[in-house]
Amino acid sequence: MSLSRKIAFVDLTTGKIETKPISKELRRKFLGGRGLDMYLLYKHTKPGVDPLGPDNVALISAGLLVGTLASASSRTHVGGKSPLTGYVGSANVGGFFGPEMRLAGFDHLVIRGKAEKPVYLYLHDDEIEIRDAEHLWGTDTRDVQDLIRQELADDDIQSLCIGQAGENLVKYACIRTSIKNAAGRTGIGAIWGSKNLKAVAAKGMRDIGIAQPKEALAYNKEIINQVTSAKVSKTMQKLGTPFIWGVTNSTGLVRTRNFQLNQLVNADDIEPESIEEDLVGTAGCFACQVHCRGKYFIKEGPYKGTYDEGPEYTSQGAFGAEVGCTSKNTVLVCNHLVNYYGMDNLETGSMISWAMELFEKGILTLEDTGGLDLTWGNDETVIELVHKIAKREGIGDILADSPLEAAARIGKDSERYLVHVKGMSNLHSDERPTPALALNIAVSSRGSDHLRGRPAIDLYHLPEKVLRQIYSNPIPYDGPLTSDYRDYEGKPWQVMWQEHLYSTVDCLGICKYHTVFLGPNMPAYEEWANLIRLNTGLELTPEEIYRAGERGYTLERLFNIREGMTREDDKLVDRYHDEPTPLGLPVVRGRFIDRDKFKIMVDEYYAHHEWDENGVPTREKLEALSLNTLDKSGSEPSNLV
Amino acid sequence: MITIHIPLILRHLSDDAETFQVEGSTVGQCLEELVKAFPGMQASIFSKKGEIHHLIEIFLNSKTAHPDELRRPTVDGDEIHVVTLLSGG
Ligand code: SF4
Repeated sequence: MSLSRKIAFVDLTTGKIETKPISKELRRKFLGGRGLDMYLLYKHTKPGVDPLGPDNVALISAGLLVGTLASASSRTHVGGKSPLTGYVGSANVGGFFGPEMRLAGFDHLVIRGKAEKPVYLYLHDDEIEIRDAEHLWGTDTRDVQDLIRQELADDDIQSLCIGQAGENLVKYACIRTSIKNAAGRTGIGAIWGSKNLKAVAAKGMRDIGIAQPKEALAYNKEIINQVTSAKVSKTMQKLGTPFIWGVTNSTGLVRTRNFQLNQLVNADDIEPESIEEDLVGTAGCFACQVHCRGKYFIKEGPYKGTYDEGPEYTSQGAFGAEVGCTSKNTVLVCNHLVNYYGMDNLETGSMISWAMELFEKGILTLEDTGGLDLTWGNDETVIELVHKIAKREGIGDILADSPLEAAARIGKDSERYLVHVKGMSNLHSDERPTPALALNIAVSSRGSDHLRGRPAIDLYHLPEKVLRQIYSNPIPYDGPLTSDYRDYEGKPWQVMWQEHLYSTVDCLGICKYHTVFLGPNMPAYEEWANLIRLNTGLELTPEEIYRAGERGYTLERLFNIREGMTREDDKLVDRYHDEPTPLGLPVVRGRFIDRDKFKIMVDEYYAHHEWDENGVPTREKLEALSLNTLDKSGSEPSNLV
Repeated sequence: MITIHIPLILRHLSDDAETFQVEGSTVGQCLEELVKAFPGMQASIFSKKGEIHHLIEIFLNSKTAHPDELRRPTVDGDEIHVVTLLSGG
């Protein structure tokens, strides 16, 4: 049975490993993946735990449907308390590791302590070995995976790993697998580095144990058809996520030169069609028919001939718009370097663009930068800074810290130019014309984040009847809803609904590109209820699945509150309110987020969640979600099983 | 008459018109009428090959018309929505 997979508790200080079954009750409450990880995070860390200390946990999990006959069931979740923000650390990655981990017999790993010397874990046949990794320390994210395969003499082994950035405790180092799959955000790679944990390898031979194999296979064919016949999937298959760039940039929804402009001009070279010219094919994750990831060779310069995968839309923004570069080569090289070193592309580009604005304003000088000219659009400097950050060299050492730490080190009012929420940098999208998207990043549980609650289809201008069908399922909603992305009305509901949806798919281990994130006709709760039943035997209604996603999201809120977050943190930087967009189409130019209307949106958002006016979940809500084993503070949900 | 709903990001090409009334017996004919009235929309709605642009999805009476959208029959009172696939942005 797929539900027989275990949780393993690994103590790297003592070398002790303990395994426990996952009860049905815990499954019904949290499903698996991210939701169950959040329960483990809350339960197995103490308030105020040092993110880079031995008492923080490094969590790894495969979602409930990972490795089954469900389409795109590839996702692995990683977590811990974030070294970037001090709040929830959580990121999600595709590829092939998650299925292999389940085949090896494990659904969740809770890793604590610190190994005396570098180690890696090897999961196989219901066992976990802690192996020496001294010879692997210092290797990049590709070599380490190859070397582990060689060492264990098995080409089928899949690994999660860190590169040099994680070893050097870059605060936004990520976890990687395969060539470019990245659990990018919140700096989980630095947690691994702090524990001397270089990699986790897995090879599985155990049967997943599908509940109704024939029926599951037949049903999944319907799901595949539903996903692949959607117009947006065909566009993704052809261009990958860069497809979004052309229209967002021409509309004026792309933050440029840190946050000074909202459109990159003369950017033909990094248009999706131009990037497509360099692609030699596409790659995909386990059980996915979309294959959204480009494969390319760098065509010129010192990296000529280097193979890599991507770039994602995020890299176009991080190494194009934000830093004012219009060269495809720069985007492709930087994309390669962050893959190689194991760093979050989004955070890397944002930190560089912030430094460039500081340089323009005279807050950073040539003396501070070691002679590097940080003028906008300086391709060589941008590439050099990626190296320096990964190695923590010179100015790179400051930029390798979290945005708020780096601003504290530089001083001179530099924090004013950071574009972040809760200490995590914003995507390169400019949300000033789009209140729903602005609300989403302001309230997101892991800091500024488009993958936590973005109602991305808000920009589609869908018929309102279609919006209503989506947003009133599986729980009823008859409040305002509008397809005008400039409106403030109805958006808090959309953001909350999306938070629960993304939480749910991260519990299931399904790719978000197979959900309403990309298109209105994608699978949702009804389909997931069928997939869960046919693959695992668990009978859950669409509403129960929705509530499981909500439960996990509520726990993230509770964790953040425990770690000191207040309503004050659910905000945007002042520039969103004070500086109207200077460029773009008439429907986006001159727009900003109105402070009063924004406050009303936050109030409504809390009310929809049934949180109080300070954003704290009410006792009634916790009881309704069975998170009601309360301590004196009234907000402690652990020990529920 | 058939009503075409124009998305916000194409309204600078339609003199700010939110909707446009046309006659036509297929979605393709209706959209041709639209671009005849507002030629600037041609490149945004259609690819160079004359298919629907990869960033546009057409909804007919609140249901996706993809694939084969241009040949879908239309009747008096129908509503066409031109939807922009700006996802994730
Ligand atoms: S759509 Fe892309 S990211 Fe998602 S599972 Fe498929 S290949 Fe992986």
